[in-house]
Amino acid sequence: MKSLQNRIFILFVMLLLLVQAIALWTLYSGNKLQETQAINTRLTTAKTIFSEIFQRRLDYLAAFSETVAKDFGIKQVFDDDTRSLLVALNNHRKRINADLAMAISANNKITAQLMVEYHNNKQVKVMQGPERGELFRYPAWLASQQQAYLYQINDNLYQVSFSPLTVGTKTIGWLAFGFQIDQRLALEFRNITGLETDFLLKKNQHWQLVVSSNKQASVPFATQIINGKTPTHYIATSQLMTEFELHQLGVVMYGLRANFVELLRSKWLNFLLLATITLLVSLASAYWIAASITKPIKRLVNQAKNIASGNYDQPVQLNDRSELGQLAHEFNTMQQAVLSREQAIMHRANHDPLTDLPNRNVLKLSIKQLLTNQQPFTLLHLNISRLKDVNDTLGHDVGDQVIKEVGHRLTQCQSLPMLYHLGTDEFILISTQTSSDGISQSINGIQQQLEQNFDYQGLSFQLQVRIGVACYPRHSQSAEALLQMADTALHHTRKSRQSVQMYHSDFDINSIERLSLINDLKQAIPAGQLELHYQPKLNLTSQVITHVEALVRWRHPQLGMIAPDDFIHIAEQTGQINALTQWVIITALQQYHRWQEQQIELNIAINITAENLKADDFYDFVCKTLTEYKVPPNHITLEVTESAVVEDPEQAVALLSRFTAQGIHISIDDYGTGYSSLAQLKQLPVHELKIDKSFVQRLQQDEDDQIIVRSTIELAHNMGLYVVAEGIEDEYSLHWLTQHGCELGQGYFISKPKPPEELTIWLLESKQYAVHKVTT
Amino acid sequence: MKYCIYWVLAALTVITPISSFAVNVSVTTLSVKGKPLTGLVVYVEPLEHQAMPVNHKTVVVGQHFKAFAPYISVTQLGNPVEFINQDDITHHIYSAVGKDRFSFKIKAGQQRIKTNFSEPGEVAMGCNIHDWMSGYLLLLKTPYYAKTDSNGKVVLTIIQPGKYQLTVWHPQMQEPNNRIKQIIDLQTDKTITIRLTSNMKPLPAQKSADDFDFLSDY
Repeated sequence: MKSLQNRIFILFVMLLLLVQAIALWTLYSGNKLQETQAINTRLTTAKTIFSEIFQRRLDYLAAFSETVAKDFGIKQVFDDDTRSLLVALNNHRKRINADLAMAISANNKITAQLMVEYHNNKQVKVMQGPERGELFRYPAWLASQQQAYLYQINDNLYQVSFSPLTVGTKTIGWLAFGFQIDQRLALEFRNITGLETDFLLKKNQHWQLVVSSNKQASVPFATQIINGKTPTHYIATSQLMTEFELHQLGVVMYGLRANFVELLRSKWLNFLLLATITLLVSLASAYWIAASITKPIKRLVNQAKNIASGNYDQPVQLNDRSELGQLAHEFNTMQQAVLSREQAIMHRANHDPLTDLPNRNVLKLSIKQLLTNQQPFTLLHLNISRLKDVNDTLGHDVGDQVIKEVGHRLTQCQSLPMLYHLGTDEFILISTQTSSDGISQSINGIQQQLEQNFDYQGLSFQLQVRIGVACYPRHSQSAEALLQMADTALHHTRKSRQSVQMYHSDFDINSIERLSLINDLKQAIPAGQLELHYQPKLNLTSQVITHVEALVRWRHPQLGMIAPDDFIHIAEQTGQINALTQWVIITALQQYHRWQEQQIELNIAINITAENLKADDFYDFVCKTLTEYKVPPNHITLEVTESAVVEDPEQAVALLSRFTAQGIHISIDDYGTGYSSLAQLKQLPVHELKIDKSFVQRLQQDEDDQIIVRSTIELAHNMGLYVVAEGIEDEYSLHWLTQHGCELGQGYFISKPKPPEELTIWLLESKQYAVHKVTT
Repeated sequence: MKYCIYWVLAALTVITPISSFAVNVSVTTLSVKGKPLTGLVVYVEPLEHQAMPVNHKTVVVGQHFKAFAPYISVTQLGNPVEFINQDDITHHIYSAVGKDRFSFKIKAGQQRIKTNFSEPGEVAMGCNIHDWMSGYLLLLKTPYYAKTDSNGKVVLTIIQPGKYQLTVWHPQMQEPNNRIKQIIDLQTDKTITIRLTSNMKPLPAQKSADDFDFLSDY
């Protein structure tokens, strides 16, 4: 219902209805008004005409009686014998066809009275009235100036006018002439106005009908009109006439309403019919307009739906130059733009931005396709060797060029059309060859392409790759698994130092272990699976064990004891290293106290990582814990790897300075494996250098190592540091280091790391080495 | 001079024998407001068959400027009445009531004497040509009558004392029959003041309502 078409249509309908309603209302009220006015005019006119006629009769009578009273002839016979007077009176009466003529003497006696009798409105005869010789009933009338009165003789009602008969100023009598109010008057009036006319007389508070033009005239009906209540279906008016003799004359005029408004009614019906037809036509037009406006919009809506669902093929065709046509054109343009943009996005989503080769998304689809077709194939996971070196030494731009070149070369392999770039230095090639010969052939092809060095900006790069291989269906039915297998095989090439490695199920173990370790590590601390082992450090001069290094061990419920190398890295990557280090510190401090209780004086070294140095609260934690466990700071050594310091030297120096200020010893671990410069070393607030075991282990065999160790010891001594050598595995090394002034030694030759209980026993019972006793 | 003295003496001789036992009655008529009323007819009629001399006067009913002049003429019944048309236009004088009704035309400048009035009483007169003209002729049996002067006064000399009826009459007087009557015993001279109790009607103007002028051309 909310569609535009309906709304437009409804709007039109409302407007049309409104307009029609207003028009109808106007016409109706106009018609009504016209009707009322017509009736009013009619009634007013009738009333006016009546008054006019009635008054004119009186005026006529008055003028006539006055004229007659002035007549000398009548004056002459007025006091003569009655016969003469009657004749003279009748002569005058005939002139205006009066219905009544009277002569009244100066002493109010009626001396002559003539009446005309009618039958069926036709004059029958003139006869003497019944009042001759009687005194006139209303002497007051004669004295007054008013000339016209209503006068009743028996049942006859007359309009009468009196005129005095004078001689000079002397009044010698009166003459009166009258017209009867009878049916002739009522009929005459009806002929003029078209209204029935009743004359009524009110006597003793009751109306009586005098005469009417209507044969069915009734007193109650007329009374109703006089009281101002027009009966239904009638138009009517009334007038109350002169009061006389305590009576009132009422005139009632009425007619059937229908007779007067018939013409107007028929006009009205015609108009209603016309209005209905107009409305219907208008509504049909409105519907057609609404439909024609919304039709192109509907098409555009459908088109928009098509576009939204990804269907860009059909342009909108609107032969319309209006805004809608323009909109359709814009729609088409937009459709094209969306299409090309979507294509670009699709391309970008499916291709590596560097090499423009299909990426992992496309690879997955391809594999899926091959799996669906049950087409045997071989996945070759390819990795560019030593690209990190190139990036590190020559920058990533050069590294990117190498990647692009490799990508380009690989596209040249005619036998391997399916090439994918997974990102950075990793590519995947799919070969439909699954025999070992076929695979070898493919690999040869690759290597041939890469054989030639890549010359770039005067540099010549040897393009070497390592390849991990997995086959379908031999190794797995699943795409993910196949990719994982090829990856695993590739990783294995590092260990096996080979350039090509076919997947083997044995490779999987480590990977799976690693995965489970990540999950299990979270539970390790609360589950108490971690424990600290301690490796003693021997003071080479005094042959006393003065220090120990705390080394964390994980006693995995399934895998047994796991070395820190295997999980510290995971802890760092999964954000658990701070919790781990805190546990180590607390555990080590607790152990410090146990040894103190056993009178054993030892400095405990704790390894901290780069992540620990970055943690804001690490320093506060160490200080707080030392205070809490009441351990003298100089009995604790923090071992920081050289590489950890190198990551952010400034922050490291600042933090380490705060530790040394607290009296905590700082040792640089694995010295010689990192890239720390002497300048950095100079700045570091450390107490000791710990020479990496790789230099110590083969001290006997390798003269170079001897040189390095010797010069390192000298360097450290010159900078005021003492030196710890780890990895002492034979007596020669121990002696050599002792001879060359190395302060502390650590290694399997002295003792391997031991659990604290075991180490305590070893310390207390060792005949070879002493241990400092706690001085009280 | 001699004639004058003689005329006076002659008059005295006529009056003197009467005056020896004659009575003067003086009547003053006043309006409601007390102002003297002029032109009212005062007459005295014997109630005890006292002698009434005949005065043998001819009364004039003049028509002048299309009006009766005077408005009221009074005379003793039996005396001739002289109608004089002093206008340059014909008048048609008539009266319409009573046995002595008359009707005649008098041409311009002419006169007519009428002697055959047989009944006492007032005669209302009109002119059939000039409707507005209105005049009265009062015919009395008694010779004792006069119209009040500008002081509203009349003095009547009555020959024989006794009871008389005094009447004041005027057509515009708002009294019964336009009269005020009073019985008086006249033994000696008497002064009577009659004050009206209601205002008089205005005198008829005797003017045409529409003052036409077309006749002056003739």
